[in-house]
Amino acid sequence: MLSCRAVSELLSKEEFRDAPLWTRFAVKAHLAMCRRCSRFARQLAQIRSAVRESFSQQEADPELESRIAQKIQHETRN
Amino acid sequence: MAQAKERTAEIIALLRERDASTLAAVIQAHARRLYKMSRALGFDDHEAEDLVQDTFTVFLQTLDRFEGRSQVPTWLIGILYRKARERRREHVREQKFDPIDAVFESRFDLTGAWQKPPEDLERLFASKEIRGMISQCLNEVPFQQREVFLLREVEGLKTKEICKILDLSATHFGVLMHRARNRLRECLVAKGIKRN
Repeated sequence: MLSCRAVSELLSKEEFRDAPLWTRFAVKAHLAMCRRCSRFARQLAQIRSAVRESFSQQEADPELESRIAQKIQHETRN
Repeated sequence: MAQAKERTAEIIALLRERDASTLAAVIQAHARRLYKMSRALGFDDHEAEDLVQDTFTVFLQTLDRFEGRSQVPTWLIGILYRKARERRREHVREQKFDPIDAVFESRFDLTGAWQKPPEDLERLFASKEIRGMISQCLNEVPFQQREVFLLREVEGLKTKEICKILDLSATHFGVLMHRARNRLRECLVAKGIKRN
């Protein structure tokens, strides 16, 4: 029987993905029964989406690519 | 798959000849992503642009070493991260002790059960302030943990690719991810408590 601590560590270390089948099954079974660990798992997923969203909205100058291309071409000619 | 490999080989051959339109196309395809990654690593807009430029310069200089074992984006990301470390003068060595490990342990009792339920962060994640909070909390994550976290969570790279780029073992990868995630979670919990 896996403890909450073990499940949380397996989730945040991602060891759960490559773990043997019985461990993956035990983690899933634990999450289905334990509201505390399923909340922890949900928060890890929410952090992932919030970080992704935050960087997808990051603006970059529209001229970025052409400026870099010009500089690199200038460099390679010299 | 074989077609993609042939296409990559063709692009590399054209770049070796310094074909301007191929170079422009490669820059067009990858510069923005690399720029966003540099910003996520904590560089300002000018530094980030310089870093991307350096990355393409090194990419062109090292084309002969590119044997098609990795894809162009992974190769570019590897260069970007090495350059980023040089700029930050980061001495990447394993941190045996990190205070976040003790914070994680303190969440559980001797039997390994939660001392108390994890704080409810639903309202915080639904709020408009979350974006700013995420960025503040990310700044508190040490550089190497941030690198690993971003490559996995934002770029969605596989563990194997990340370990190759950053020269890490799978175990070390797990430790860094664990610390980054828990540090971010604890930081958001603290902000959530302050907000209420």
